Amino acid sequence: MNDNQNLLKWAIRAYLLIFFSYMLFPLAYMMLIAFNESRIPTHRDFTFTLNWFGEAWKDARMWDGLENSVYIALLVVAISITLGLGGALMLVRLQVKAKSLVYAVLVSPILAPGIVLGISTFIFWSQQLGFRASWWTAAFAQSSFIAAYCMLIFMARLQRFDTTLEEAGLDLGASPRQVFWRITVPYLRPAFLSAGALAFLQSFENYTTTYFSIGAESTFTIFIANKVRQGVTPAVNAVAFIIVATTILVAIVYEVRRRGREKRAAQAARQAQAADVAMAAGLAQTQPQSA
Amino acid sequence: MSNDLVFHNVVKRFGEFTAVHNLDLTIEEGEFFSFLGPSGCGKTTILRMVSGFIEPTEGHITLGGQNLAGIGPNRRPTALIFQNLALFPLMSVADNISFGLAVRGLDRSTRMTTVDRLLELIAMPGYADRRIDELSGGQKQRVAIARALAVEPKVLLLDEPLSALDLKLRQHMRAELRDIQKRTGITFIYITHDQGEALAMSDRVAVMSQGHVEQVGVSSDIYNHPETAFVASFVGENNLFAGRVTGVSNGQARLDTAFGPLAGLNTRGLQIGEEGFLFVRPERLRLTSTAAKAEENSFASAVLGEMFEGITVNISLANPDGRPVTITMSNDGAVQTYEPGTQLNVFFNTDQATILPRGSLASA
Amino acid sequence: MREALQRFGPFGVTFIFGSVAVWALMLILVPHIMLLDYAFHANPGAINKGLAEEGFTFYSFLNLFDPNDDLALRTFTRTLLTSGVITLLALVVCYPLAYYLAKVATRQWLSILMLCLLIPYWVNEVLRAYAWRTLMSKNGLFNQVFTAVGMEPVEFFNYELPVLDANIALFVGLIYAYVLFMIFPMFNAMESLDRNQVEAARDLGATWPQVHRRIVIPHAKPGIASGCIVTFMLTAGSFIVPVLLGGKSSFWFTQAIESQFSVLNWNGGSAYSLVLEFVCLVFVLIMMRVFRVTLRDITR
Repeated sequence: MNDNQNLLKWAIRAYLLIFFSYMLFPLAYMMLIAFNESRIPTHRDFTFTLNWFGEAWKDARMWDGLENSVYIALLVVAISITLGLGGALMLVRLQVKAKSLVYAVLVSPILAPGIVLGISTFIFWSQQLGFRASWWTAAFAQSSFIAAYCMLIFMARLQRFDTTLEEAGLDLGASPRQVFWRITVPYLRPAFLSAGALAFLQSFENYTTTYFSIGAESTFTIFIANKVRQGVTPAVNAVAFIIVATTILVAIVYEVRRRGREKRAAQAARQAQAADVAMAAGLAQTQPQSA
Repeated sequence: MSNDLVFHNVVKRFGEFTAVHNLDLTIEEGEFFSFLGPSGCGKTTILRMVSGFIEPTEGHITLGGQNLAGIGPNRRPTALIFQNLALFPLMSVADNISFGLAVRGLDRSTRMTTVDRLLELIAMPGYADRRIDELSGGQKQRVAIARALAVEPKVLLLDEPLSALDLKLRQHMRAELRDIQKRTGITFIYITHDQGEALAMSDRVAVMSQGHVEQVGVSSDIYNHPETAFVASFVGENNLFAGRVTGVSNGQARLDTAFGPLAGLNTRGLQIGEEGFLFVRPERLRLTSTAAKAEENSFASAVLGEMFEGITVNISLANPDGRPVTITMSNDGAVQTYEPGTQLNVFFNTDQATILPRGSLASA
Repeated sequence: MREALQRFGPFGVTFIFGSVAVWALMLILVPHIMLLDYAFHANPGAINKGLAEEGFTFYSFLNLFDPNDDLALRTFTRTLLTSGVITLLALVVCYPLAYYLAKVATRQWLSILMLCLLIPYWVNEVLRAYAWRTLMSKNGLFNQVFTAVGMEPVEFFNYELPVLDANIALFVGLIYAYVLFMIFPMFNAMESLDRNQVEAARDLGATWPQVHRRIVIPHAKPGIASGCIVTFMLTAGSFIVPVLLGGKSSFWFTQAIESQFSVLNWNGGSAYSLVLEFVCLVFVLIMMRVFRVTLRDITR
């Protein structure tokens, strides 16, 4: 029995090792090449250099693409949060007939291939309505599904909202608008933050939908894709290095903060419990009052 | 008085179901008034109608002569303490208490003065900047009350606020609530299913069952002179003997029960031949007789069991008619232990028993 | 409605209904209707040449089923078949990992391992594809290793896999790009499974395969369905990965759509897009039926 268990344990370890190497190795290799002097991206004849970072920095088209990516991302955040919030409020708080239908329609862009979203947006705004395809149309295309993600985040938060808080607000004299801004919106603040972050990141790294709806303009990811399609120098790897390194950094910071928050929450819970025990004990001493 | 709360023939129906039947009641300004009854009796519905979250189906409610119909909860001079307190979790104690003032546009210094005053009232000075999730259950209770008092309501509504607290805390808070009410002079309307609470804190109590008010009165009247079978069985412990009226005289009546003839006060004026219930409290039953025979009732029964509860000793006796008869005696050291099956003679005075018409009883 | 007005006021209700209307109509429904419209009309060029009528027609779809030129059809079947195989493969490979993370890993290890998964997940698909291209090029790392041990170098971009008709590089690249989308939904679904249930089953004598079949899988159904759907759709709808790794003969259906657009045949492109979307829709419905889940279950 023990032999079998041992075998299983090693099999699991091997499996994990293979899986995670498969996941991480190609990225590590790609980042490594950024430091090799060779003109062709390769690891051979490795000579350390930082030149390619400089090359990347000088590329005007990269900065153009980056600029567009940021504009689009900001616009998408604004649109998606607004629409997502409206959708979430309707589906969680109102009694609407055909709720399932509305939900299915609003969520459908998540389940549609990105290329279809890009094309349909392009056809509608550019071909049918005659607008020039630009970063605006790309933002619209992206928003159709990113708003759905935001809506899901808001819905999750709203479903745990205690509606008696709103009643309490009304009871104390607040108008519905005051209740919304002073009670509901502050409660949703974490949802705003995570929805906003999610929207920004998803917009920034999107390729296919953007490519098909943006017409002739460029974004950061389109720039990278173009570079890779044409002739390649390790300048692309340099850019890749920065992106992946930033991702790793953000991930680590996020994890550290999360652990910190968990620790503090556990501490606060323990303190509150102690306060109650103390109060009950203290009361036992001051009991002789007008009972 | 100028700020009395009056229910004029108020009825509330939800579709086919009637939650509140024909409520006609005046609650006087400055009273501590309780609605007492089991869950589903309609007391929560009444509270929500007063606070404005529901409108009556028929009839109307007036406060100080002004009809409250159509006035939303945010415009009524009432404040509600919710069962789960509904304190705003992301705000500090001070922000919670001053919320009602903030939405009325009062400036910061005015709000803070009120907050400090109320913190003194609830004996939590210096807690202004604490977060809500750092407070204990009892502290949260008090903040909820302070928050409601800050808007200077004419009526304070309390929805079973103490049900989530430990026993000792609950007893302490009962006294505190009573104290605050006396000091501020605001009308308190309190709903609960705990009769000890209602009787202890209130000026008057309305006992409710299934949407009807069974009886309204001061605590001692509710306890000592119940007017319906429900009130008699719901409030406190009570022994029940069913039977037919065989004699009536001098405000008393005699009932022919499974234990033979028993007599009690005939406060509801039953006639000979009517079916009735005779109620007598466990603490009014005695095992030995020290009074004249004529004023006494007696019967014999076999012991089922004896329960020693510290302050009191309860003996339960067989009752062929229904629930066992209970005698409650003070533990004065002289109580004997009786083996099950022992035949005992039980005595009680006629003026300690009440005969009431048959009616629905509180479920066990 | 009256309660809605009481709770949110007139502005609030306008905002809610307004935003949903704008979103549903302007961003989703109307563009789709346009897509349908274009797909069922022929492109002006063909009309001028007399090859197709004006008005409603299936002309734009015909190219796909042209008996004389089966390139489009071959591309289509290649895409579907490969996506299906990849989805299945991803399911099999990721299930153990998802279970391990959800039920077996200790808390510290869990957060570290999740981090190791999230990092590639957050890296752009373009870069993920590019990483493999360098590795698999003629003089790339893999071929170097092969020659070093005396094997023949492999032409990853040209070696066609049997049946699938797709080259190795593309196959591996697609798996790499989208396998993570299988893990997270399954992980989420499994996490909510009470570990006591598993232990109770073991205690009653169930073997591990039985535990998985009778307890874990039924509970994780929404996650499995969700993962399969997302993986299939991302793979079938993938664009840049085939472009970078597809080589000369592994044309992907999305590239066929692009080539329609590059000759300004909006109608043809729309028609093909519709076909792709239809296939994905059918896949979603089949998954929902097979796993007996609703739409709400699968959207996280």
